[in-house]
Amino acid sequence: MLDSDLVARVGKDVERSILRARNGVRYAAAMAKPREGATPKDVVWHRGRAALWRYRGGAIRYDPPIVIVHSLVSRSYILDLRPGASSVGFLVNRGFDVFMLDWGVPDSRDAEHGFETYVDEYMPRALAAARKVTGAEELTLAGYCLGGIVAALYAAAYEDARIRNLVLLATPVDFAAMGAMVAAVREGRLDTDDLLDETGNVPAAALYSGFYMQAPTKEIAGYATLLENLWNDQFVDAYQAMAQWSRDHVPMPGAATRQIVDDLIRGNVLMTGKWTLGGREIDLSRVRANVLSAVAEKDNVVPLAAVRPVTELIGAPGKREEMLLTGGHVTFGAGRHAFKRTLPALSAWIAAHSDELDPPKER
Amino acid sequence: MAADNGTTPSWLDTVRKWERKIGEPIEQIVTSESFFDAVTQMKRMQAEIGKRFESATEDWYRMFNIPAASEIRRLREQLGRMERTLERMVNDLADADAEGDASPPPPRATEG
Repeated sequence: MLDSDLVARVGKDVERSILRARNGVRYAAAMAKPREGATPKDVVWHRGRAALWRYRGGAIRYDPPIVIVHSLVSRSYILDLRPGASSVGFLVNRGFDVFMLDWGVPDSRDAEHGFETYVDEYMPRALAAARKVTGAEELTLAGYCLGGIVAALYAAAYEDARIRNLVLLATPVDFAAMGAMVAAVREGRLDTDDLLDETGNVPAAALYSGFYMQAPTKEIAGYATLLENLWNDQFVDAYQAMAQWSRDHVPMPGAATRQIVDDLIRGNVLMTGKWTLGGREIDLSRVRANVLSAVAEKDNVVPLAAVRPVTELIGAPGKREEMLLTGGHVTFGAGRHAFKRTLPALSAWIAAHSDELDPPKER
Repeated sequence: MAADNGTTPSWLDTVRKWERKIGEPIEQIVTSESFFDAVTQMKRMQAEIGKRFESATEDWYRMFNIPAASEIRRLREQLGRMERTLERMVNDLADADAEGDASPPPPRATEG
């Protein structure tokens, strides 16, 4: 007579094998489809490839609204990955009015876009649109990675920026501490022109290979973990979302790349606290907002040492804070880990530096 | 295959250990200064070979009235410049239409 435990185990293994086969096919098919964010949104402004989205949700409990300025090299859906694990969704559910400034997919028309284009052409117009639809006087700007540099430059460059809070997520300032991530373009190595294609931009594939080469064998362990958990729908969804995003880079405009290589990496100009852009000097200490620098302790893209000087350089002394969060460059701000650990801390800081609306405002 | 008691199955543990065993030395190599020097040399050599190949084959393409790679590149660059000019005009028109309500405030001049 067969042991009932054994029968149950065989039954479970058979069931999981069927689920693995099904999810395997589903995984392969979905990887080819373009991904978009999970939270419903409306386009409130656009210019060229860039767009400002306003996320839909319940009543608004806090003012000012939050405008997220996304990085220039990756897709913004990382912050709105999937239902139940969306950073944007988290903030919306907490009662914030959330906007995302997404740069789209640059093409040859964006090749001459330098940082001054983003700071002087896009940011003022996008933020004016956010103010117009909300009626808000002030805004909270949250910049992710290179988007943090754009946000900080804007807040410093304009006397009338009206930014209450400037949240910088994994935003590098000391490029001498960026390590292997930028080693290929240091003095005497590859120049910007070596990286550009005929569109005048750095192709997305070149950026992907730069990230991939940091840990080229990690995918093996990742795939093995996926195989083990392929029966689990939730795991597959989460893995797929993250895997797809990590391969889904966007081209980097040539002019901005030239500034990153020449000024930021080779000149390490942000460590002087000033950067000359568009014919005038921008002094980062002139940011009037409350500045929060959120750093991830296991960030291997933007190491801690590259972020730490933010609290000495950006904003007024006494209005700068640092928040050390668990996780890596991506997982500290996106996905399940962020949802449980880091986003509650970040949103609490923003709430503490915002006005609570009583009664809450309908969107 | 699966470990039901919440622990990692031994095969997965073995794969992870093996991955780290080979991964760590590879990561050390690909993040070393000499690796980036080698990448620079390779990339420049690749560009040089590409250029020489292009100039060597250019005349052959022309003989058969086929555009050479360098000509297609120049054409794409020219198209890119045209598209940029066109977009600037579209943006200027959009700004004029917006009647200044979304126009940027003037840049602040810093001291010194």
